Parts: sequence; C-alpha cells; structure tokens
Amino acid sequence: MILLVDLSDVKGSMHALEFVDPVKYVLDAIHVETEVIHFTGLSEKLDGNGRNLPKSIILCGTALKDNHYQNEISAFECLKTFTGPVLGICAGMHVIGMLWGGELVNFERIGLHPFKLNTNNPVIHPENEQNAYHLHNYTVTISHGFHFLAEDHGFPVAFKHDNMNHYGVLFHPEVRNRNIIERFSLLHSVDLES
Amino acid sequence: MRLGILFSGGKDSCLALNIARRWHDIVCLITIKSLNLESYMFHTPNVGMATLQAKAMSIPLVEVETDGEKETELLDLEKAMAEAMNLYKIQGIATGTLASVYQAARVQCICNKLNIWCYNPLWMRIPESILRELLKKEFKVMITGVFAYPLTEDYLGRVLDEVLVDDLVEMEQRYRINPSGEGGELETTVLDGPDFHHPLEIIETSVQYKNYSGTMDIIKARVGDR
Repeated sequence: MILLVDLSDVKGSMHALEFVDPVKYVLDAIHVETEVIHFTGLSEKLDGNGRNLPKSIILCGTALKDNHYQNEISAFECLKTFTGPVLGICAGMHVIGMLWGGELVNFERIGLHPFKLNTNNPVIHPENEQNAYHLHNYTVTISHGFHFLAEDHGFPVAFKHDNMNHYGVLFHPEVRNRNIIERFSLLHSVDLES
Repeated sequence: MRLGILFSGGKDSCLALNIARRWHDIVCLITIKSLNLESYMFHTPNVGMATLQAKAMSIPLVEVETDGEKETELLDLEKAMAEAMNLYKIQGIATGTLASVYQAARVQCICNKLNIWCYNPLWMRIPESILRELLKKEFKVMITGVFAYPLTEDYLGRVLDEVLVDDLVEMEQRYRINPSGEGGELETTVLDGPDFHHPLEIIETSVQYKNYSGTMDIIKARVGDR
C-alpha cells in the first residue's frame, strides 16, 4: 500500500480533489493500493507498531496560497526514520528539504517549464521528461545527505537522499510525467543506486 | 470562504460550482464573453446563456467582454476577477478545468497575482467519471457544439443520457475523442441541475454545421417554471 499524504491546511479540504486525487488516479490505473491521510495523522500512522505500515509514502502538493505546512514540519519528523520510499511533490519536496535542514527560497514557476537533468536515475530519467508542470512560489535548498537530480537555472527541481529512496520533485508528475509516479511505485526499501 | 465560479455555462463549470458548494459559499459567477470563436481560454458557444443560468440559480453574475486576443483576454479575465473581489468580496475562485495546463496555469497566475485562492475540483478527473456524475446529479446538459469526427449534426441539441455517455465513451476508444470534450471536440450548455431553482427553456435555435464542425446557437430562451 502506498500512503498518500494530504498537505493541505485543513483536513478534508477541497484541495485534496486537486492535489491528492490526481496522484491516486495514476496509481489506481496501475492497480496499486493507496490510502489517503491528512499530514496531521502521519506520525500516528507510522507508529502503528508495524501493523498496516505503508510500503511507500507520497507527500502530495497543495495550493499555491497554502503555506500552512511550512509551520508544521515537526509533524513529518517520523519520515526521517521511515526506510521505505518517499516521494515529495512540490510542497512535499519543500517538507523533505526543510526536514533535513534545507531552507525555502523564493522561486515562482507556474505552468510548463523545462528542466535540466543532472543524472540518470531509476525514477527520474531523461525520457520525454524535460518539460514539467510547476505550481509553486518557492523551492528548497539542498541539505547535507541529499543530491540534485535536476535543476532549473541553478534551483533544485528534483533531489534524492544519498542512502534512502527519499525523493523530492518540485513539479507535479501527476499532471505531466506520470511515469515518474509509476516507477516510484515499484521502488522498495533497498536503495536502487546502492 | 467566499468563492466566485469561473463560469462558461457548460457542464464543467456547472459541476465545479456544485462540488465547490460543499465546502464554500458561492457568491458570484464570473463569465468572460469572448468575441474570438477560436479562443483557447474561454468556452464560446452560447456563453450568453450565462445571464439566464445565473438568474435560474439566483447567483449574481460578473460579466466581462473580451476581443479574445491571446494575451489581452487574460487581462480581461484579471479585470473580471478583480471586479468580483471588489463587488462580492471573493477570497478565491473555482474553475471547471479538467486537464488543460494552458488554461490552468494562466488562471493560477492571475490568482497568484491577485492573492486569492484557486480551486480546480475536476482537475485530472477521468472524463467518463465527469459525465457519469452529471447524470447521477440530474444535470440537463445539451450538446451545443461539435468540432471533431465522427460527431455529426445529429449530436447538436442532444441531451446527455446513459446512451449518449456510452456512445461518447466508445468514441474515445475508437477515435481517441475525449468524451468530456476537453480537447475541444464538443461544447455543452447546461439547462437544469441541482443548483438551478428553475429550469431553462429553449425557444429558438439556429444550427450551423459543416464537415463535423458546427454549433447550435440559442437565439431565444427563458427561465421556466419548476
């Protein structure tokens, strides 16, 4: 099961229709089981004494004007010890970056924009993926223990933890480049690069 | 939250309104009347019906006309949204955009500039699911524009029902037509639905059709009795 985490400001808000459901549609289409929770329930979910733990976690994006999650980073602390794959999308990437010591910087991108890949990675590799759908006012600086996978004018657009399958993408792969989500769903706790 | 609906009078904006109502107060409709029939941004056939639809739903309408040139129409949209902020104190808008990143990005940019919320409750929905939800909620959706093979003149004026939805879904498989018309294959006008206090009645129409492309223009219509 892949856990889809809703990062919107209020549990059960309308934003989930736009930022969580589209990720679910991609996984439904390839018959991957999902469960949706609001970020405020993440710690409890991962502290389930090993019962019904997700195989992977996707932190979904949220609305441009919704910055509430930026003040709630402690709610994601449990991700640091989660050894399964994690994919942070847009706001989700901000969360992963901030969790490991990165800082938000202004970087507005709305719409389709090209980006440059720095590496050949099993999840994000250069196959018709040079254009991506962006919807953000910020990116996050890369912190120790992470490396760039892609950049846009020097700003991080995708990164990965050096040892774990923890990824961040600034763009929305559920809109364009859905195969990133499909390939992510195949990852296991073992690092494919090791 | 006080929301305005970016409203064309077609099925997607009407469904977006219906969904948004579960969370927010819908305080106005915002309609752009584009004089450019080829506009990528705005639904054009029968957008004039928005006045009657707004009346039938008892929701105020903010209407702005645009010449439909590629970038000036965005300025006109911004003007309409700013007017809705001023008149109805909207804090955000909702749209019926399904998959067009062209439309979505431009509306998001304007909302970001005006510092208001932007909701797209149908975003990335599977087209067939949209049509089935419209049926389930008893919207009366009429096809008023066809723009792709094999959509013949016979489809103009047809009202969405199970048979038509099945037909459109089959066309998706055979001809790669988007059954919801997201690729511009068809346009619709909503005549009744769960948010309408009164249905709309069409009195007079005019059909223009040639080579799998045509419109049914509504010349005269009225708000009917329930």
